[in-house]
Amino acid sequence: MVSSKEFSKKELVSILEIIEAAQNCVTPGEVSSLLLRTKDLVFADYSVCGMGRLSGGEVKDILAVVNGNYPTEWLDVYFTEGLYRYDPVVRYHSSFSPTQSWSDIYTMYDDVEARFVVSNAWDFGIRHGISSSIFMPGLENISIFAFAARNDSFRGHHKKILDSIALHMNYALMRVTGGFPRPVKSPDAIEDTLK
Amino acid sequence: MDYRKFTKKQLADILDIIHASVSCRGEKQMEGLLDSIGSLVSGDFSVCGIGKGDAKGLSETPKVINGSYPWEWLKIYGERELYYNDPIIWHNFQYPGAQLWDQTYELFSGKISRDFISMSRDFGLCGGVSGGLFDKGTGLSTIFTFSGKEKAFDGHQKEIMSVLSPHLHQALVRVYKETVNVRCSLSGREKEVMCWIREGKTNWEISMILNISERTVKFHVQNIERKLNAVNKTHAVAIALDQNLLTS
Repeated sequence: MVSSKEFSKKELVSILEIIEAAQNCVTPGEVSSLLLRTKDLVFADYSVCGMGRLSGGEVKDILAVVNGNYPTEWLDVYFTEGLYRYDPVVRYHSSFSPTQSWSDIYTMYDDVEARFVVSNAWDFGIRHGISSSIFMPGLENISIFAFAARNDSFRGHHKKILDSIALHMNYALMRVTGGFPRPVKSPDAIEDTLK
Repeated sequence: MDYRKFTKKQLADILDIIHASVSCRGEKQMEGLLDSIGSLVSGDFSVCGIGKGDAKGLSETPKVINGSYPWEWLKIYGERELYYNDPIIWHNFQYPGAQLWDQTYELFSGKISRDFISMSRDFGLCGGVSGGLFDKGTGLSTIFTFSGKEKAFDGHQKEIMSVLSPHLHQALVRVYKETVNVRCSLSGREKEVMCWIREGKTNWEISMILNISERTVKFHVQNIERKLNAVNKTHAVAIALDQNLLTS
């Protein structure tokens, strides 16, 4: 359980505003706005979230993606090539929910495929980051909320902020995607489900 | 909501309560939640309830979880079905959200309402703030009430309840559904066995009464303990009584 006492008043106001906004989210655009507000709160440059279906401990199907402001060129490559299968962040969150900094995750998945994804993301400015995930046991789905930056300014404090917000953002994402979205495979189809 | 008007401590408490609502499981935790909110809104007495209804009001006896309300008042309230006369409950169905009692009472000037208000004041429930939601889809209405001295409540507490109500509603609906699921999952035979345990009968005596083997009675008892997460059959009876599981 996160203790709220260690947040500043400004942070508390922002967290509560984001939680309130998450409750009222009904469109992908509103979820995107949530991501952008949260990005600013944790001093990240980029944000994105997605929901996938787990099978055999791996994400097999991407059910939905809502972009905050990730470079769309990178997202196109990422989903077209199915890079989420090798992405250390996705692999980590397929097993663990708590918010984690990517520098710690990278040390856990130091294989050729993981290095390939990380180095390509690096070219788009997606270098450092923190991410949080929510696992939905009944559906075998996970939602991942990712916040990236060029510089590594992420600290434990930012992880705690994200811990406070992630579940509420997940409710918003589930509401927007209808809760039980059908699996889709391509980025175009993903976009279509969100229109 | 303009959160900047709250103090840092109040904001931290509100966020802690939201966190606790998300993870709230079972009536005991709900009582703890009521206690925390009571401290935040300066309520001497706290209680929450959930029931089905429509725009006309409640259509069934609500389930109540008591934080610190006077038991004697709750007994009278339940026995005389005063929830049908309670202006706060009526108002919550019409205008879900937060409400200050004195403002709501001004809208209800009839004799039934006046008698109800007068009676509740006799138990020290002079003023209060309540918050709740009514989900038209499920027909479930929740209310969280904090009461105390008449002048102890103002718009500030109303705003706190306004922020907390959606989270508390979700928590109470979850607790309520868990209770209903447990109730549904106890078979008729298990309820029968529980009733005889409550009467102080041994497994052997129950086997004679129900004309089944003592081993079968033991099987039912173990099943009941497992379903209710009880450590023994006495504990199971206590849980069943507490959750009103023995009524058909």
